Amino acid sequence: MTRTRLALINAIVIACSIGSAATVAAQSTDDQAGRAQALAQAREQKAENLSVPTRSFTERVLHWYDDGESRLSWRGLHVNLGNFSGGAGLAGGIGFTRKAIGSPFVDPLQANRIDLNVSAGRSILGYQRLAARIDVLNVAGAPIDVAVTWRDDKMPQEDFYGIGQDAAENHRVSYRLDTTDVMTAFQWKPYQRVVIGGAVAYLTPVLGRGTDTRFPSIEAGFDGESAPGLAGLPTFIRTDAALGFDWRDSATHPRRGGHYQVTASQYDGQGDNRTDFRRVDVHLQQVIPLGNRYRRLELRAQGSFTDADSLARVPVIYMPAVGGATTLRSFASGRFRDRQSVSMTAEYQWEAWWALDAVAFIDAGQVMHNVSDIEWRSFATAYGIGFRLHSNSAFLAKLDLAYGREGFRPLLGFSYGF
Amino acid sequence: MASKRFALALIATATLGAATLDAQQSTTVKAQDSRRFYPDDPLWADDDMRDIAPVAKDELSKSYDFVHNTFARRALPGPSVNINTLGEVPDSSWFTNRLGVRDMTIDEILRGPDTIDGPAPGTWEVVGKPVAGITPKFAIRDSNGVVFLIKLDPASIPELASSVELIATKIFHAIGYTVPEDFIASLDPRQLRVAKGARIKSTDGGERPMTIADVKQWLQHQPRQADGTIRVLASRWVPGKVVGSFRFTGTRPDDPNDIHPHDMRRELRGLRVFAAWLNHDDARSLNSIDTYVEDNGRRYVRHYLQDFGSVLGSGSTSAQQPRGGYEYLIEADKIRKGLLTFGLWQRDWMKAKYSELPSLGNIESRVFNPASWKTEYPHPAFEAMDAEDGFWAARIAARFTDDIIRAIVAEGKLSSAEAAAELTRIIIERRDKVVKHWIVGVNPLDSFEVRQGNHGPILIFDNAAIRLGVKAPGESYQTSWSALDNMTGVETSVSDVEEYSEPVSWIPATGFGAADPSGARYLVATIRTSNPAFPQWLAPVRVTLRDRGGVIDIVGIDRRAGAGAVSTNNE
Repeated sequence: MTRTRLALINAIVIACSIGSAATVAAQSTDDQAGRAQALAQAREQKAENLSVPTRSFTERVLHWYDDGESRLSWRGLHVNLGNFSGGAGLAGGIGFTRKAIGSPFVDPLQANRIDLNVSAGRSILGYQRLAARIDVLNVAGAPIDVAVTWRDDKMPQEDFYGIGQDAAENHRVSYRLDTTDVMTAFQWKPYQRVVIGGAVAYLTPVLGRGTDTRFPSIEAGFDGESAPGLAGLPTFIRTDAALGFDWRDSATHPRRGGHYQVTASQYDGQGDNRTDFRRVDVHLQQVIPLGNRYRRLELRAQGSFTDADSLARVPVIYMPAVGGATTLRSFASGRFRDRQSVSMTAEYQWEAWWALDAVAFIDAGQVMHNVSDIEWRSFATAYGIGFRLHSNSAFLAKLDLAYGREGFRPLLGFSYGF
Repeated sequence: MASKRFALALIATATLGAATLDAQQSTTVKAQDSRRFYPDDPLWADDDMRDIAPVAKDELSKSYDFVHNTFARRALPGPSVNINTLGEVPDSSWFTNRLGVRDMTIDEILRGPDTIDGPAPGTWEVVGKPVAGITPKFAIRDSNGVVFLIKLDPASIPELASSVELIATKIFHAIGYTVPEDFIASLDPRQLRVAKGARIKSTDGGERPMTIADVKQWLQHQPRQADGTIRVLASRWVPGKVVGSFRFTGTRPDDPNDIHPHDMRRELRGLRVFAAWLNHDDARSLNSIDTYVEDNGRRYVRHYLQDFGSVLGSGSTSAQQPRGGYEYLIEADKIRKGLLTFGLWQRDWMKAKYSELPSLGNIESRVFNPASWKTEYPHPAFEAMDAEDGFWAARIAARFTDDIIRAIVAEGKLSSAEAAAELTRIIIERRDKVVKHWIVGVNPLDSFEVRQGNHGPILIFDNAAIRLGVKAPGESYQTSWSALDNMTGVETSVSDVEEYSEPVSWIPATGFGAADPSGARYLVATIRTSNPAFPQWLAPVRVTLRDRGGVIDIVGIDRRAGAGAVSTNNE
């Protein structure tokens, strides 16, 4: 039907609208003509000019999207974006996910449910990851999950500045870390808010020459004394035990509640007990609503503490560190390393939009050789603003704009991280 | 962005062109016949159920509906056109006047659209699992062969979605909309069988035969009632062939019965008032359904409202989001304000307090504001609604008495008497708010009647705002009379302006205009209401009387002079 004809019929319809006293009827001048007759005439006229409903280009595209034909996945195969640590550069890859293997449906509470994830990815800076993970969920119908993971990482441009809080920015070097790790872990939730976990991991780290052409490689400025592990690393067996209490209302977009967790780890260097050490990580998070859940103060504190026999050294790659996406955000990832670290964050959060929170934050962090060395004046600080994109209950993405003595750093992330 | 602007400019130009053609054509028609009233006015039935050939299936993309309505800008279409000369909506395939024009017994209201008593006992065959919408559901055929959609409550909030869907169905039916037959039923998983040939989407995206294990899996986390059954909402499959959902703009190009642009239909524009009342923020095209039906030998398209699982405090699969009903999904100015004020600016909905009773979800009446109430995203018919549409709807809403509401809520079968009482209170308070807001938007003179007085005929009426307790009496009414020549539309004053403190006026019986070819003569009363608190009431109501052989009836009521576009209060 042409636009002119449509307009003509619309005009007649509006003119003979069932009865607005200000409008008039259609063409008939029959003295006994009625409103109903005029409407019938309009319908007869439209009947002569029918057409099938059509869709605009935009509508066709969005139909295609609605029908699920636009997804970047096919029978479990999917595209991965990101998934690397900070500094890896733009990355992409492919993955395969199959949930509830052997079951025709995916039920989060299914006993002995088995999920499989396999992925491979590479970044423009040469970072590479191959990974596989099998989860057995709700073992024997109990609130116990078991996971077995295998991961092979090639990380050619990791940063190192030296050990200690006074490590200078201009001492930056790069190193390569290749590691293949196999881990078995379990998590038991005896109560809704209590988590008990444990893991055993076999780690094969290899430290080598960095490939970042902007900075010297690690061996140019450091040796085995100033960068423990540089002279060579054994394989490790790491044993973890964790206890947590989590009463947040959402694990990734909390509006109230707290999360407190302690993880103790034992690193055993295989065939070289000079690298054995113990590490304890403490994570404290408290979300305090300010009047209502749309305005909050979130306080976080993290501490990582290592302990080694007098001769043993903690390898730099496993040392506590501050700086990066979750601590001291204006500093590079792993900017400060030592045998102990403490960091704190205060974030004021407000809901700017139902799907977007804005935050103003201040971070402080310090590393030290011994806990007794902590000095309040030595804390490095960062401050800034950020944005959290979320659904009604879960985190989706974040952007933090952080400032500090070493400049401005934007941080885009797709994992909650706290 | 540039190409988008160019496309929008093209659309705007085309729309303007069409509007110009409308105007030209209207002028042409007027020159041929300026008659204002016809012998069959006022029309109480618009015969849009004429026999037509089958129409095509026209499925709307939910993403397109959201994107188009959120980002495309359009001009308001003008006043409603599918009304009779009294400003009422005639019966049609869209709407059937019920409580708005006649008394209904509570039993009749509770019966609603139901023609049966729900799914028959015995074996229920599972015949499919629709993927549309977010509510967990599947289709069954009962032992009588009747097909129902079985909708499940959120497992963690039993009774929430089923109760509100049933309540809304009864209310929308009593208002006049066409709705499915809904029932709260008890399902015993043992009575389910999978129908031969039933298929389901598999986890890898393909299709596979449905098994009873699938059905058990859907139900395994649903809370059981004391007798082991599961409470569900059974919605009877609507009769006829489903041909898509209707849109809230334009008309179906393949349905000759569909001649009134949907955003110019009063019942679709006035739906905003009812949707605000019941917090039906999901009142979008996707929750409507068109079916091609055969009825008494005529085949035509019938238009349903359906899927009321996201009304009142329910969000279908969870409690309603606190934002629901207060803010569109995307409102740039509010996002900007939210960002820049560091949380000092708090939206109204952030201050809302909800009942602790879980089966009520998130619904309240204190913060609720009918003027600023919103759907999930802009709704073209709701945006087009004017004050006259609002007045029409508010009058109907006011017809739901406290007793009717109490009885309807009881049909929702909430197991907590406290929850039922609280929900009743909230619905009553929200009804009062929508009535109070919309009844005063135009000059609210109503209930016009011609009676024989001591000295001749009189026109009596009332003020709906006073009748409904929105305000106390105290205004005055100025009336002037004009003779109307129905064939030319020319009006000639036959009286001075007279002022009364009572809603009554003497009819100048000798003042009727010249007879039209049908022998009818017409007289127009122009009535203004003086009340400093409501300046909009000075816009007159024009009441046209018709004299046919000495019998005087009311043939026209026109409030359009005061029915400006409705502004939305954006806080």
